[in-house]
Amino acid sequence: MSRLSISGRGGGPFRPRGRRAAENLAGSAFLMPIIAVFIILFAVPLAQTFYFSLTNFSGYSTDVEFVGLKNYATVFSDPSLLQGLIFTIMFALATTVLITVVAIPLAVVLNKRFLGRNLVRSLFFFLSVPSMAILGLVWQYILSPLDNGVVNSLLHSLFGAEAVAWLAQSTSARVCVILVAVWAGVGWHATLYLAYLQAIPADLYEQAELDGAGQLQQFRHITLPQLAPGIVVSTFLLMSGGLKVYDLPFTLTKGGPGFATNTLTQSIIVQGIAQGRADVGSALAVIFTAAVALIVLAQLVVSNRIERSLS
Amino acid sequence: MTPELNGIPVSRRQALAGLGAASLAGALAACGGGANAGKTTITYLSWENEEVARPLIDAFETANPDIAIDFSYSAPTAGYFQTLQTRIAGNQQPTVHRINPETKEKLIGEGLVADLTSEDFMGAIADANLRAYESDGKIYGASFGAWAAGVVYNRDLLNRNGADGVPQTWEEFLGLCKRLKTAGVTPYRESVQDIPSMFQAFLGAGYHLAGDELGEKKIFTGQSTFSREWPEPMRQWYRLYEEEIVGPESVSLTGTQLKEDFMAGNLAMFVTGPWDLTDIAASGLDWGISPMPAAPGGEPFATGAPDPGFAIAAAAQGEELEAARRFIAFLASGDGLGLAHEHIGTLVNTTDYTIEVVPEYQALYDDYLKTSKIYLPMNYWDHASDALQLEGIALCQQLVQGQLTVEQVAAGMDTKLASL
Repeated sequence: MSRLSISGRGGGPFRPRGRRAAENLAGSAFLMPIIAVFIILFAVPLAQTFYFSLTNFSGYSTDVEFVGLKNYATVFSDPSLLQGLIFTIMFALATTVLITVVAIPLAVVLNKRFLGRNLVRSLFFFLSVPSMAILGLVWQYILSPLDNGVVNSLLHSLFGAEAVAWLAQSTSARVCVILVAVWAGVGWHATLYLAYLQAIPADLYEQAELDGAGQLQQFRHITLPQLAPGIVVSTFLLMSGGLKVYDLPFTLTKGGPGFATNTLTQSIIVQGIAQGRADVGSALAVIFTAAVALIVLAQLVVSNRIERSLS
Repeated sequence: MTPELNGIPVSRRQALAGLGAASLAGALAACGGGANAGKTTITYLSWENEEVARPLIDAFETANPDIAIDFSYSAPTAGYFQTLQTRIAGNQQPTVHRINPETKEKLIGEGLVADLTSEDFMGAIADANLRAYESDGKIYGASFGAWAAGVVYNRDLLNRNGADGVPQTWEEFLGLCKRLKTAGVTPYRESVQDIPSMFQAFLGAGYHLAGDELGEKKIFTGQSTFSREWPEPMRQWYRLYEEEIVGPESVSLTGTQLKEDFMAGNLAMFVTGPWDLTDIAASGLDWGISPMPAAPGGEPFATGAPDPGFAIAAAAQGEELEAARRFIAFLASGDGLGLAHEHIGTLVNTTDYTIEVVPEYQALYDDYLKTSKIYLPMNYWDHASDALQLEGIALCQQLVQGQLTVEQVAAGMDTKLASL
């Protein structure tokens, strides 16, 4: 064994210091374009947004005055914005939990051998292909409050039920928005879990069967721990996507009834663009970015702890 | 020293951005400027897509060979004003663009649009259209069309239940709805995804009878409040729900769902405007359209408003300004109005030009739209009309859900206005 192949402290092969520095420099050089893009497309606009949030910027003229924290006070005293914050958090949490709870068993089923398995996998995955905005418009028809709405006709023909105005009451509208998002997202996340399931060595299950473990025990002690990294990835995507939701509630309910299904991103767009209040919109965007960063960070910490406890 | 552009001080950043834009524009012009060489070019941000706007542009350019129009399009409404806002913020305001009630406060307040009051082409514009874009006695938008919405009805369903049209008074209208309902016909539906049209018409009718041209503008000058102006007409409209003619499903009904339900023959009456009439006419139904019935003490009226006006950028000078004036003058001419009606469907509202509309709509056009017996509250809201409209919709939805009273809706509007 040559001296160069002796493992260093990090477990990797030993390399002279000069060569390591050159490799680091090369690595950094590869990162430079990404860092530049990040600064131009994220850091600069975010800094500008923060600056505008402290001014009376209308969006029409850059001739602005500094107003301090006035726009932040406006945000926290507006009931419609607070309702938007509540529903956004409710949506993100509910869709994360429900999709995870449904997608894992679905992935386990789709991982088994049965006739037409590939077709069924494709059908579930297909739900995530159309944009959420289109799904919102389609579901608006499906949930039409008229007698000829798809759901209402079905309920009438099966049970003789009267037409229900699904999207006209605050609670049912919120439930509908969340359930449509779950329906649309579950197939994609099941596919994600499927990829992780297929990486689990089959001999683990064979050994467990020899030891007399039942299906439920195999799921609890093999499948779930092996899926833990997948759960972290999936819930991270769900939580961050849920907090940023805009298209589905907007097309399905336009944020109503009242402000029951209003979301923070909808408020940012409406305030900043439609209402020509780019100052308040910017303050909302800053609060939103900070809130998303905090919540997602907290969620990652919790997920990692769960991952460690399962494995 | 602060650099200046046409006498306006600009920052170094703006100057650099302008230089960059000018270089880019120069390079682009050098690449493809052959056809327009020697012409005055104006930029025009269109409200209509190129397919329908192109005949007007072509006709204008043919009649004015020394002017070229640099056409761009953005879809109304929010997208259009987002594009306009972005271009203004980037020092690229189009020479000619649209102005509407929701944006006029910003555009006029920031000094971004030119005063058109004394232009020749303003002479024939209808009163309602002039008022819509007026501020401090000056007019900043040239609007040549308008829309009026009324109650569309299924003539067969009404005839079978003893009515030959939409009743003229609110009491008779409610009575007809109850008769239809008893006969198993869905009498009337509406969407509460906007401030309800029937209520808007009641408001307008009241102001019109009182000879009050200010309308709800009084609220914004401190002479009145929503709590004083809204409750009575709103109470009348809300009888639709109190007397169980319409249910809370109105909150989630869309205009398209209403139209399709009507065209399927399931619905006797609903409120709509010119945008739906082609489809309804094609459905084969025997139909008609009437103004809104008169609430007690009022008169039949229509919900409606002038079209968005054409505005000229205040920064336009010299040949560019003259070319923009000639473009709007062309739009105001018989040729321009005829083409706008033919290709865009503009319902012309000027004193010197008349169009023919579908026979069912003719009476509403002649007696209400052309006589400015149309009302849309947002046109009279001096500022923050978008924010107030959203608040109004949310409050009306909560009223329909039974969560608020009429008085609380009006008070909620006052509270919102005070916060803006």
